[in-house]
Amino acid sequence: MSETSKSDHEIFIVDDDPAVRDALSVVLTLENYHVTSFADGGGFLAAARTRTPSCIILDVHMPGRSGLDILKDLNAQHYAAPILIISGQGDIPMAVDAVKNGALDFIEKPFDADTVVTRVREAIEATERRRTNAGAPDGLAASFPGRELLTPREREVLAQIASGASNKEAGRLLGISPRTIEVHRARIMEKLGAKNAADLVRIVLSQQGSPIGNP
Amino acid sequence: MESLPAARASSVLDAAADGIIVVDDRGHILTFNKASEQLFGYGAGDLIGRDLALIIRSEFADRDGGSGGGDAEFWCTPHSGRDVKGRHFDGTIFPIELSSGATPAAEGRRFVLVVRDLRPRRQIERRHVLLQGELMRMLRVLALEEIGTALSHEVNQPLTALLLYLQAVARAIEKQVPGSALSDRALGLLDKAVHEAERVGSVIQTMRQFTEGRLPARRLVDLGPLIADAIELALIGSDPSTRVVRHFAPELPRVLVDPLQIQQVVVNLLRNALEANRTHLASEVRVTTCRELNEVHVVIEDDGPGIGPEALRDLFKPFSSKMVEGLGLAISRTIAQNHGGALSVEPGGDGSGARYALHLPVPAAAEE
Repeated sequence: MSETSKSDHEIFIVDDDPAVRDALSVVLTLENYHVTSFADGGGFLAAARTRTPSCIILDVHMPGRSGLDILKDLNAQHYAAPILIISGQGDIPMAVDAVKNGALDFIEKPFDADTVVTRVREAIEATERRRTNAGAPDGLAASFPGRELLTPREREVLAQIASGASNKEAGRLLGISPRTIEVHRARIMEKLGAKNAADLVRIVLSQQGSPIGNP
Repeated sequence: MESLPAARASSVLDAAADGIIVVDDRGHILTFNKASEQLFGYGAGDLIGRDLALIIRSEFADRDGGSGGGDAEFWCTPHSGRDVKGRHFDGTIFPIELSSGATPAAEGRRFVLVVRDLRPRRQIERRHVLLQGELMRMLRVLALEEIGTALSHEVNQPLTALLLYLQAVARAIEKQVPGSALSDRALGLLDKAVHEAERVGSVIQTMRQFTEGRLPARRLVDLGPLIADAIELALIGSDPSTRVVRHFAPELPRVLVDPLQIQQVVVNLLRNALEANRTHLASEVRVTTCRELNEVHVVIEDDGPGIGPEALRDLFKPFSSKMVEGLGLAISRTIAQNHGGALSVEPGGDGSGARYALHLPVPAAAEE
């Protein structure tokens, strides 16, 4: 991504801690992103409904309305911008829940500038790739048992798994950490009733004649 | 030989659960009931007419004859229970509780001694001391976990900001004034500063792993016995009038938990409930287990005053000073959440006590 195109990218930061909010804003502004920050969920939701930023960074642990509630209010599962959750070490289960509720990925506190800059860049790139490819077949069979139970993201992850990608490869392509791919994988297997990866491929293949990923 | 009333008295004595011994004012044994025979291993016939000092003394010395009766004064003083030593036929010295009373008789004064073996009670006391120790250890772990949770959250916030600020400066220098001796020096120092900040982060992380990173300890557990143990632990040292009413659901599915952590949560909730009762002069705590859809609920209700709105707001805050026994509610909730569950509270008030519910997910495999 070239430096000049970044200023077109607006990033929303939602964190109740003023220092974290400001420091994140400083780092991302230095990277030439256009940053808007919010101290609570209310102001953020109002803004997010009127315009879509390129990326959202949301603290999962906030007083009042938690990050999870905000994700539900936003209908994050179908929101156009990638949402990165920041979480403390004690909130990992909450962060995993956030991913199940539509967040793209989570970053654990304390994190450094490189991490957050890289993750934001990858998230935006992956989202743009997704937009370009919209309408193209996702590499999955048009119908297989349980397909309607999966979120759009889970379908993407499933397509990667079924085509034999490792967690790392799938993560790189989708702008998600391998650990989060693992969260999705477990969730997909649960939803589809698969006991292992081979089982998963079998379920996905069951309704079509040709192998996945070779349309 | 015996007259009818004497025979009746003897049968009454023999039916008594406690050892009963009658002595004369010289300390010679006149009556020795069945329970005494069992306690001391002597037959009544062996001891009638002999000195009580043979089997009961305030202390037994290392070498000890059966004669003397130097303790005569001791049992002659009416008393409702003092700890003395008994000696069994086989030589075993054991603790007994001795109550004595004097009764006048035609032949002179008689003393009725009631003897109780203290060993079973000592055993219970020892077990209580043991449990108390375990409880204290658990409370220490709880306190440590609570501090760990609070510290890591409170420290990670500024630490994250600090790291970002330091790196923002480094990035700005790299972009705007690269290559000068001064900027190289500044970058070197910033690098060191970042390294030190990261060290703080890793210390916090290690501490957390130490206190709650014991994920491998999770196993499929039957909650019933776990809760029963927790009740026993929580009741140590509590008011004897306290009643814990249990409504355990039959056929509760097993849950995948770290038993120690979940027991800590239950003990913690119970102690809160007991404390709430104590301040309200109530004595009943109800523990209910039930299944709700794909969760198991452990519900603990007290008859205390309920939780006021102000206390409720601070309820799950670490280091909250509002709750006398608030220790560990924050960590209890963290533990519940880390198990994929939750800890909910209905504050009560207006005549009803507080109601805490620990929710734990039923593992998928146990559903079938």
